[in-house]
Amino acid sequence: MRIDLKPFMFLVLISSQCWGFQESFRNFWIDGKSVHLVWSPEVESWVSPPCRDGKLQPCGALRLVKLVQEMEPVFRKGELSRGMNPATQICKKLGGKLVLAKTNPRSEWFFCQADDGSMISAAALSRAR
Amino acid sequence: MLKSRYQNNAFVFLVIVCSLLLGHSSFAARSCDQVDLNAAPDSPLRKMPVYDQDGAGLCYAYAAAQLFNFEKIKAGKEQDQVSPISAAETDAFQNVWSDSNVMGGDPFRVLMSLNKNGYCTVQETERLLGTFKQGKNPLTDAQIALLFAEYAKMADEKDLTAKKAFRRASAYFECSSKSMTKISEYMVGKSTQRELFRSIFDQCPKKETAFMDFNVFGGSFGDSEYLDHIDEALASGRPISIDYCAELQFSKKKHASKSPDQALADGECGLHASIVTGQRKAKTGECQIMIRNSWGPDWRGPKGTPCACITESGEYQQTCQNYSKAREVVGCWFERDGLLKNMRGGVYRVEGRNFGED
Repeated sequence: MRIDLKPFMFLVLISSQCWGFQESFRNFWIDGKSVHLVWSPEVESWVSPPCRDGKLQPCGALRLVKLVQEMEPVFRKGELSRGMNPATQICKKLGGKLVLAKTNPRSEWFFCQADDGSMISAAALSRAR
Repeated sequence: MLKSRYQNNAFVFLVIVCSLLLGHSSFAARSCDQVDLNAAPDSPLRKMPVYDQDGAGLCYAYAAAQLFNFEKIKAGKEQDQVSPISAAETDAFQNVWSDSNVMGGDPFRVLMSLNKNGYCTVQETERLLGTFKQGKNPLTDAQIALLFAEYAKMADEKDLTAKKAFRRASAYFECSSKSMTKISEYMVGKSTQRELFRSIFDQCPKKETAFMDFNVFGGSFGDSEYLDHIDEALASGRPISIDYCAELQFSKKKHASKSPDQALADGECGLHASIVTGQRKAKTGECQIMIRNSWGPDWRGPKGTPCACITESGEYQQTCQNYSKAREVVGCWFERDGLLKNMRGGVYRVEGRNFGED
């Protein structure tokens, strides 16, 4: 007896497609609103959804990443004093706006917001160097 | 015969010298005891936020507040935790040794000041600074301190255009107009940082604390005895605050071509304070020390640095497997010898009586 595998193969194909579309996302509490961010493997960080793949759509937050990669040097000697956080300072230097996300329990997570409103974790800007 | 006796004496002398050298910690092969203060599900560290000091020079206050709060949580007094901004305030403005500036300080001095002067709890600080900390554009303790400091700086210059200048200052862009109105109200008749901070914190019912004893050490870079202090603190199940070059956190260079003293003089070593929360022997065989920084829960050190995290499901991973599943990074592992070269001192709680407690 021959078993027709075609219907099963179709099912396997569909389920793998669904799996492929799965993305990591998380809601952060920012400015009193729940903000949906997605994980970008490219920058290994949380970004606004349009920035996820980094190539298909224009995204201000990823432009900040590119800018920081081109900066030479990022900081002048002695510019970072008394333990200042380089990540948040880079964000300000690039003209981004720091926004504070509330996480559990009371941890302080800063995102850098570009002029188009898109966001990226501030620490990712420092890692981009 | 005579020659043989001399040979014997020489041998005995050699044995004595060798045993003396081996007995001395700097010559003995140092062990790397495995300690991870985050590992226990009921660890006080699990109940403490991962802070971000942003552009404020408050690392010392954050480090001291974390050591202090660790003790309070451990003692079951979670409600008695100090807020970092209150820790900075009590040090900068309530002592004869104070230099009247919250930006920059010493963790040990803060801890002594908390013992002596009492402090404002996290809850009370939230209430007092609610205007700044809640609603749209909320500010952290560090940002509020930065805001006050910059405002006071402008006002202190007795410049009629101080307010205008302040609006151009970086701190302005981080606060809402509501905060600006509030701070303007606070500033009426006040021209110094001290007056501004005191006008707020004098409204706080001060929490007194039983005297806690802390051991302070340091002076020069890289003294191997510092590792004994780290071992001692971790063995007692407590974190230790260390002073070190902040560049260790974002540069792979570690000043190999230059001594940290020279790097400090040249502005290439910015002194920073953080707390150490663990030690382990990595698979590579190197001894690593975990530093819990105050640069937010997404800080992961220089590229490739292994870090520990708490996952979304609340599981603790000593080496985070997947950062997209991490709720927060709670510390990163640095090679011990590299850290020691960049380390200049520290402070930690020592076992003993809490004076004032039964």
